[in-house]
Amino acid sequence: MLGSRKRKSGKVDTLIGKETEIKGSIRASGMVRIDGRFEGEILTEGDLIIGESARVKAEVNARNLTLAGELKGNVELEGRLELNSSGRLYGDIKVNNLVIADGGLFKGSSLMPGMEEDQEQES
Amino acid sequence: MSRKKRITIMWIPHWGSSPRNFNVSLGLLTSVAALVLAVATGLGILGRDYIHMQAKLDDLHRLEKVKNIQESQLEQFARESREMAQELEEIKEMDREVRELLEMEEFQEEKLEELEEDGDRQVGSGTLTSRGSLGIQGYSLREKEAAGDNYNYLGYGNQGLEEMDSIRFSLPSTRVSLEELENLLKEEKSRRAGTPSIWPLEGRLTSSYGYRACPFTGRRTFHQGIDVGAPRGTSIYAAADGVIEMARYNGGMGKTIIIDHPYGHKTLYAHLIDYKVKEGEEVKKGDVIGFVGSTGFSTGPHLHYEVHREGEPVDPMEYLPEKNRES
Repeated sequence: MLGSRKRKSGKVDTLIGKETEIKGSIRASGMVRIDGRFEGEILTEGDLIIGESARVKAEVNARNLTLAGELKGNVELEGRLELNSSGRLYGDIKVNNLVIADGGLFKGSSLMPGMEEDQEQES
Repeated sequence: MSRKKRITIMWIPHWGSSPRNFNVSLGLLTSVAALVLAVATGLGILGRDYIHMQAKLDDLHRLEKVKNIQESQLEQFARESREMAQELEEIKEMDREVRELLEMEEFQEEKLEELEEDGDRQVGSGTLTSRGSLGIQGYSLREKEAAGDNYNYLGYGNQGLEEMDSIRFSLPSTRVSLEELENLLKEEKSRRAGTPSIWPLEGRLTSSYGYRACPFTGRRTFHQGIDVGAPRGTSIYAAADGVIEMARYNGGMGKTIIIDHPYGHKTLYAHLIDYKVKEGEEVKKGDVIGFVGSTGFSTGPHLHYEVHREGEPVDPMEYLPEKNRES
């Protein structure tokens, strides 16, 4: 993250707090962090962090995603997806790089466009 | 906005764990910031001092090395001083021995007392000079003892200094003493040169000092000198340094020479065939002054030799080297 070319994505400029519940669409250029409840659509040029306490139901389009809470929806990333040990992902993903920590949960199909042949993973 | 200004400081991790909020009053934050600044400044000063001290420490190490070298030099200096002092003492001892040999003890003692007074006078200036050069000011000998610890930091140097003081103390008196000795020796030398001590000629002792039968009258008379038989023309030597008081015909003694010596002696040489010196001439011990003959009342070529001390005739044998005595 620190090595990002776009400096504006290097720091969090959008935060949805733990006790907050939002429905709608987020379009941002910087880093977005969600700790509360969100339902809708997230579109950012920067990174997305979904905290441990977050429960998100959304279509995600971002550069990188760090997931420690719960995400239901499809994910499309330029970079990589990190699924922490507390992270739970239900949906299909299209990422260049995938890391799932011990205990992380992923249910869905995975597509890596960097590869010539499409690959499907299921768990 | 409430009366008190407050702010929230938020800790937002760029990874999954939860963010944290810190709600603080601006005053507290300012205080904390000031405190942090103060601590940082203090640490900065300490750090600068530390760096400074580190540099000083390097200096200290270097100075320690220099000090060690200097200490060993001082030690050597002290040792050399001691040796010098010892040698000086030996020289003094030799001086004393020589004086004893010269049998001038009384004179020596007088001189030594004088010299020691001189020496005392010398100490003052001598020690002051040495302290000056080592940068210790204003210590007299007594203060030096009182100051003790202050003075001792010089360590070996102190010893050396004392040795040097004692050498300085002794040198002038030793010098004067030796000069005195030199004068004494010169005097002794000239006294010996001026005192009859050699045979005036090579020959056979034919008549001693004292009562004897007169060779002409047969009567018992006092013989004031000795007679030494030798062939006519044998060289006669001056018995000591002196001035020719007489060199002329003298009645029954025939051609006679009298030498006046500087230490109350006179020697007389009689019955000479000829002189080699004139009256008033200075002669050295061993110079040829005349030749054996038989002038005056004489029964054959011989030398009549007399020695007078303080105007009185004495036995010339006392003024002749023993090994050449003939009987």
